[in-house]
Amino acid sequence: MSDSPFPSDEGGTPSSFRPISFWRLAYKELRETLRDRRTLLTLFLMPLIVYPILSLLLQSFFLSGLPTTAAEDNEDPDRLGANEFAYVLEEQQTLNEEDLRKLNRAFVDYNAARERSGTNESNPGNLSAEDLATQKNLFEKHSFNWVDPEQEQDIQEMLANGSADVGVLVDNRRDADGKNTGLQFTLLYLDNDVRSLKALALLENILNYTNLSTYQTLLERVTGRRLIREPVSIKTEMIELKSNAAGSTGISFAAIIPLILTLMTITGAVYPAIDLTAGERERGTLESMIAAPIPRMRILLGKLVAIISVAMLTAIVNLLGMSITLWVFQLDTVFLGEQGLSVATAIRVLGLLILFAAFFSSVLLVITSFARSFKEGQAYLIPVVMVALAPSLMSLKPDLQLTGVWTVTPLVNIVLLARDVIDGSADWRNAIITVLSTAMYSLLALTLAARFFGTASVLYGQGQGIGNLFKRPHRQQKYASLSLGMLCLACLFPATFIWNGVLARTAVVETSGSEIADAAAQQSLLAMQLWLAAAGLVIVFLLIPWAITAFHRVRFRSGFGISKTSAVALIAGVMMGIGFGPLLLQVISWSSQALDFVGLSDEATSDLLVQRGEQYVERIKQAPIWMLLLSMAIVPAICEELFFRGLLFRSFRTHFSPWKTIFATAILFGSFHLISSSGLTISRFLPTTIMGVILGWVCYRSGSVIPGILLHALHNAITVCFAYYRDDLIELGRITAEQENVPPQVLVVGAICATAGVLLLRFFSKPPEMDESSSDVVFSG
Amino acid sequence: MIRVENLTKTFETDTTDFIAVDNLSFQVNPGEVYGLLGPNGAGKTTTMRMVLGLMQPTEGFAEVEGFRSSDSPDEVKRRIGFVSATAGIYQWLTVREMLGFFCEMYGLRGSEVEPRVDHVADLLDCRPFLDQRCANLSTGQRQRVNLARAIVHDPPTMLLDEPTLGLDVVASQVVFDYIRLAQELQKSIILCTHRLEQAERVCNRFGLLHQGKLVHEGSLQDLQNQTGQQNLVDMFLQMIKPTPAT
Repeated sequence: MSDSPFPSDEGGTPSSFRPISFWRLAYKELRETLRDRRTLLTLFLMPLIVYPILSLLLQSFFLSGLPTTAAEDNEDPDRLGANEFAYVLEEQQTLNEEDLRKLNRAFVDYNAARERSGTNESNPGNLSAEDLATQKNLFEKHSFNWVDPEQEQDIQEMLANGSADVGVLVDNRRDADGKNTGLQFTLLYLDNDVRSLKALALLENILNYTNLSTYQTLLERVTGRRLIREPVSIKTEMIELKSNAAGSTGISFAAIIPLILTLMTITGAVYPAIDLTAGERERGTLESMIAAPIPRMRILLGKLVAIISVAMLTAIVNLLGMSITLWVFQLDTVFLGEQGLSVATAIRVLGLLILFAAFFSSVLLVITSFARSFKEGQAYLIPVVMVALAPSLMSLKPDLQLTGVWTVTPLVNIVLLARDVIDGSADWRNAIITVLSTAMYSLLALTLAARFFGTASVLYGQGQGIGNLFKRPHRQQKYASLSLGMLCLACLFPATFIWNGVLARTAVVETSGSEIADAAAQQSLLAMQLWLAAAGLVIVFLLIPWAITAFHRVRFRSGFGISKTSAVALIAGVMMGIGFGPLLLQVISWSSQALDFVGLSDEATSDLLVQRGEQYVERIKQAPIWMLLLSMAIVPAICEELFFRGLLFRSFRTHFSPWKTIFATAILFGSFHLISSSGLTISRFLPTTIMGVILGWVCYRSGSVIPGILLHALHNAITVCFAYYRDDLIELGRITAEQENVPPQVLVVGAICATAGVLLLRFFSKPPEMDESSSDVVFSG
Repeated sequence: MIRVENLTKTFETDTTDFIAVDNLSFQVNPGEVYGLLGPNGAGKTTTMRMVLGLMQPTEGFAEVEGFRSSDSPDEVKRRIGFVSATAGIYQWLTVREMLGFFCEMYGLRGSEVEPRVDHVADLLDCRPFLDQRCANLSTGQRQRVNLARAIVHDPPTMLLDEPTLGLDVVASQVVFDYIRLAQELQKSIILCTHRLEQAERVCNRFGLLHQGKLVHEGSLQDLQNQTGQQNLVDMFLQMIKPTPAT
């Protein structure tokens, strides 16, 4: 009996070996997971049971649970409360043709009286007392209160506090010549309020009937005369309440759908995450997989894709289940507004959920990788889900806006962004920060998962479980590992954000502080701001990464790339700094112009930023130039280079090729510069990313951060000096006040210097070899 | 061929270092079945894991077909068929699906997969339950599927860690039949087992481990000469007997 249908040695030569793709791995994981009854239970049974029950509860809550009581309403006949609306609904049945004819008559008479009086004023006080009485009687009979258009705010308050369901403003409609062309009824209603929406529908019906009835009446009166215009036109306006979008309920219903979808995505991801890691380990299949010649990262990615797929499948099934249930129970307009859930919005929300699922699945993978059994995995995840639940509930607060720190708060940011996407009020700048931060957190979680998944310490339980994440290695490390670099990055992202917020606060103090009148006080405030900015850079880019890496025994000098380099590299750094300074200034100018051209920059915001920039430049001129150079050129150059081209560059190099590392760190460098104390500055992304590529290449060729620090500092110094001495240059006639572009002669000189520096580094400096093996992290056990 | 040289594994605990494998050296040639025997906790499984590259040795190295497991774990894994006592199977897949998946894991593609699955199924008598869900298999059938999973890529070396654990005599026989076949096919095999009488029949050479150390090594004849005992059971008992205090 032969045991080999193919080459009898080891099943193929090394060169012909074709490792399995992670898609095939994901397919197997998905096939296995979707055959599991427990997955199917979460996937289909939950939406079938949960949503109808939830809808029943919500429906009864909306129709009977509002705080305005019948007694209160009855005591105040001028108010249109919940029960009075019910009265209207009842009256609707008896609102016979005669009533409507009266209403119609009133409108016609109102029009006629207004035209007779020859006035275009909308004040019904111009009506005859009889007409007005007829009008008012009709409205009062049906519990509508006549109001003056100038009292619109009062109507809004009535809507807000639930004492009215719908507001009606009556105004004249005029043509281009200012001639009165009829009445315009503006109906004010509350979005997400079932009673307001029903009242709106009722009024629209009445007014539509009025129009039709008027046509008929006029045609009867004046046979053969053609009606040229509608007597009444209807316009509806949704009232957005600042503090309470859902009347007196105190929660934002628009946030409920993304919240439930997010929670369901979590629910969908939890079971496969435990089963495909701790479950497999418990069943003994994980060891067989790890024993195969497949990189652990690929196995992990296969599992991740399967978990995300199941999570998304759960989200889609839930979205469908929820949509059908809302439609059946007529709650769709309450949660989704009049426009409902369009396909485009659903796709956007699902896109956000994919991102969220990727993030949360990675987090789950990290945690479940440590569990020895399914039960242990569950025990680990329950607190995680509870922790995730708490901040997400905060997103139900209607006044919670997706701004500031919320844009970088995991889970809350996605729920708020999805809410804004659904109601069409999403701000793309905050959306970018949300997406970027979530993507970054996902990447971090994935690298952490890759660090521990399938390792001997986890596979055979020799490590100390989840504590390994925070365990100090026994040996000193030359460089930070990739996961450690990502950990630093993840800590820095919110830290940068918070620090920029602090700086923005100090700017607010300055601009709003009329009390800071004297020049000396302003100067000291400016100095404080500059020192604060410099201190922020030192803390964020130097102290935090240093603390993290020192804890993990990474040597400071090698880990941050502070190594000796050749004189040629230093000269090249100086030349490139002088050269690229003006060139990149020009790129910034082009970048802003390009954004304006494609319409990506909001004109108002752009103008505001320009205005702020100009004000800023004017202000900083009050500071001595040495202080500006120190705080805006030298300190940023040292701190940013030590982090991006020092720590992060070396950490990435342990896994990636030089060019991949250069581009990855450059994009991250550019992304960090998107956020400033002035907000999101898109125009900075391209030039700073280009700068990041240049600095990365310099670091790679020289093997040290020092030439890059020189380049960076000189570049910043030239930019600062250009702004500082701009007026002098204008006086000397070198540039004009309106000039946006860098003078051509300066660009030529810059190009020559930059090229010379590049050539020097390219042909006279050899990149040193990096000892990648020394980045291994060694844990006990 | 498998070569183990000064292989050592130390686990650090909160209080002390525990040496699981202590300076172990041996070699397994093609066509040879090496019985790595010892009581529970002797370091057999840890040795297997280090040979396979699942665990990094503290000192020393293991080589499989010229590749060091610490330096080229993927090359080593491709050349090893690993059967563990604790290995499980995918309950929601059929036997055919599971074997097909492992064929792909070891680099087989498309048209190569199906004939190979059929071949190993015939070899280990898995044909009758090839299309059944793994969850429905008996213990013996599961262990046969596990062995089939380990040989889908026709590896030149085999690491068999308690391959007959929990099996009755009939089911064990299928496993030992395969070992004999693999031996004929010039595969290098390390076998860890507590079935000492079976080990005596199939192994060419033995290494007796105790507390991480290789106490005796050689053929059955060599061990008989070294220990003065006639069978492995007696040798075992003698090896683990505490030394009287002097």
